[in-house]
Amino acid sequence: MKATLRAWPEGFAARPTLTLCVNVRAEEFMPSCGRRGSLEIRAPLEAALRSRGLDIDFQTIKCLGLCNKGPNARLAPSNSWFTAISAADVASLVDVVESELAKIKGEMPNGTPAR
Amino acid sequence: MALPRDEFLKAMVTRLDGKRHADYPFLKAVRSGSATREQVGFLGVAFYHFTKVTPQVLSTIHSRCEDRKIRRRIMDTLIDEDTELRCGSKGHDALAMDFATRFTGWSEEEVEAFDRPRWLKEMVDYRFKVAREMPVVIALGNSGIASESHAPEMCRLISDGLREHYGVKDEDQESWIVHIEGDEDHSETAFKVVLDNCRTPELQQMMLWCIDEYTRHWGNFWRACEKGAVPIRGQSPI
Repeated sequence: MKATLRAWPEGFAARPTLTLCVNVRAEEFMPSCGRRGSLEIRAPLEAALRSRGLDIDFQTIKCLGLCNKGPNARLAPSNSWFTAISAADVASLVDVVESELAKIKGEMPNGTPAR
Repeated sequence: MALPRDEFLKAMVTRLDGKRHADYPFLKAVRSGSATREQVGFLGVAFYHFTKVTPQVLSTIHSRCEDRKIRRRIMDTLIDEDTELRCGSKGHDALAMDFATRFTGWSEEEVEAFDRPRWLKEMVDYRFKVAREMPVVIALGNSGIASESHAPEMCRLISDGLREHYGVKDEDQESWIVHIEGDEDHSETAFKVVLDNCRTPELQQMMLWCIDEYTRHWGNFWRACEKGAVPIRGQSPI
């Protein structure tokens, strides 16, 4: 998995969203996140986000536009990206998301100040 | 005398200053939630009518292109725009139609039958005129530099605003989300092709003229969205 992390924008009010692409293209020769394993990632990822009690909205979409790099997920509104996710990456992906969410409050996941 | 590569690049980028999509108040209004649902609906319908001609504009440029390598890059972009095979679960016109219908509650027939204002017809006519009449490299730059190079920020602002203030799920706004990162390839291709091939003063002036002209049309688009409104059907269409 590759994570491309960006700073949260100033002044957003809504819950952050993690969106996983679950597209399954009919054409096997064209890349799509669903065919590359995102369908198997979906349930454990959602469960892991819930079990950590993270304040985040989990959504799915049929395309995020980076098909050659999939399976992909996007964290909004920071516009951070997770590409080439595998089932084995779910725990570390949630770790990163938790860490990113903590930055909104200016805290590390363990409650210590981020800066 | 033609500008050296770096100076020409700087001239193009400078030419966009203050005229990028994200510079317009309407984009900030959508991001902050101060745009009305009727204005956002207008954006959806107008953007569909802009997007639906893109495949024909690109295929016009493709058919005129003598360079096999460039033609292949145009084909890649055309596949992104007009099919469900890459960058989008549908062609981008179909995604734009999905957003327009889901946000407004209109039928596809109603969106299709929308009476395009004069400024929108002129924008579409301009796109076809450049594709048909200008050198291929300029036509590519018109699309990839004058418009797409600053589209990712536009789409990010709209998408974040729709999610935060208008209750639009990501699956209902794929039309905007696929362009946030997906257009960067198109833009990089266009910059490379233009810089590699615009080596005469005439070509460079044409390219700069196109940046002025296409951003002028986009300015009309964004100002019209500020004044525009379409009726929204239903309490919460999405």
